[in-house]
Amino acid sequence: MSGDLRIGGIRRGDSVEFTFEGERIVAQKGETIAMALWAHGQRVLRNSSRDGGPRAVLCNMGVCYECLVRIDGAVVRACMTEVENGMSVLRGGKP
Amino acid sequence: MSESADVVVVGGGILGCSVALHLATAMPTARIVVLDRGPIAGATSGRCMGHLMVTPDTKEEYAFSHTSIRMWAELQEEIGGFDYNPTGALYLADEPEDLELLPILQKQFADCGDKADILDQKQLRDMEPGLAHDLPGALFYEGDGVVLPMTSCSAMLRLGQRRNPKLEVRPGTEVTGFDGVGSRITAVRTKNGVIKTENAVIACGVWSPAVGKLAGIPALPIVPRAGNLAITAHHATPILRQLLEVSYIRFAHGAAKVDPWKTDEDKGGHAVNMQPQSAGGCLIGSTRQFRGFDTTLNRELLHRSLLRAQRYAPGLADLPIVRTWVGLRPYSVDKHPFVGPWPQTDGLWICSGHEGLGISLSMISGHLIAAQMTKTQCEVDPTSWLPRRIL
Repeated sequence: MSGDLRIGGIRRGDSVEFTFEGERIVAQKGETIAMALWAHGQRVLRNSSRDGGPRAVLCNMGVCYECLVRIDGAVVRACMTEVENGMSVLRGGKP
Repeated sequence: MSESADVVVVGGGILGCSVALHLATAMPTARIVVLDRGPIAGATSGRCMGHLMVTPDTKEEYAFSHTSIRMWAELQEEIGGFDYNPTGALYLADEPEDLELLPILQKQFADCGDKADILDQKQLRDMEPGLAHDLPGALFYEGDGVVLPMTSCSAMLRLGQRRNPKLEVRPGTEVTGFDGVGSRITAVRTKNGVIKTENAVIACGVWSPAVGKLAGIPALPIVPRAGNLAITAHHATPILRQLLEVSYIRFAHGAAKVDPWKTDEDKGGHAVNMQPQSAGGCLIGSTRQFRGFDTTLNRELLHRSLLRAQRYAPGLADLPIVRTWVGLRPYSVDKHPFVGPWPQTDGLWICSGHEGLGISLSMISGHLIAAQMTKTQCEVDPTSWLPRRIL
């Protein structure tokens, strides 16, 4: 999926650039990683350790820990972490 | 009008579920009812680790635990669905002096006719690359494993119902009394009505003394022993096997000439236990404290466990802790569980008091209840676990 799913005509923060699995993503300051990726059409944030199945944002409020991603080695919840310029985000579920 | 059943099992934890499964297998047309005042696996069995552990302290305990774990493998073959993972267990040394404990434990396994391997630093690193590279060594025992206790309970009940469609599970049903106490059980009374029956099994874990009192058992010596637990996010776990500190045997078993049950664990006498989860993540325990039914988290003790866990598996430091909680082990004061008939009342049975080994020992315990009730062959000698010893 590509294109921007954001609703037009809403005043947003400054542009921020980060990468997800090496792909360049443009977001707006104040957005979470989860929503920036969602707007960009990236749904699969990690794969299950049990069967490798895809996992996406579920609760989007920090409770379920389904949306884990990795930034500089640390495992964080994509839905609770704001995007920053130059961030390199990797899918969770990988050592 | 009251209903009737052939057996009423009081308690829907892992022991009650295993009793129900084995009764359903032994009596495929009997009416068996499992009651719990709360949900299935709603107490200790939903708040514990799922280590399938062979304990070689004595030959008797070895036979008991080893047979049970063989039965777990059979349950997996038969139905599965409970994240069974025969990882084996690593008993980890931290300080060089811990290395002295490895042959002690190895000899215990050897004395039981089994084997465990001592690993040096390099062998350990090859086996578990996520462990700290300066660990001096470990003992590997192949026979242990890991299960998810809550889904194990439901797997046991599902298999029981497949074998005996008349097995009925009734959560939310609190027992208020027993009829026929002192002679022969005739009924179990609940808040929702009376069930006529000639057999009642008390499998209520830490609440067994209270339920036992309703059935005329004056003082069943079982007390809660609290454990503080933490689980990391279900991310890729840095560990592959069930891990324990070998210093555990200094106080959890008698090997090092320390009375395990007198150790003051509030002062640090506990060892960490780490368990990989098949959905990812790592379960970390296992402190031991006597403090009644209090389930408040002891942050200081848990923090100490987490630091110990990080010392062994540094990658754990990267993982967020998702949940922390306290579970209550049903500790039997003479360290042996109670599995068998209560001699003062015909038809009254006890299956409780397994402390931290309830998941491990549930399969053999359920079997022993069913075998004794149907007067068929027991897979191991039941004598040491009979409740009559407290009279």
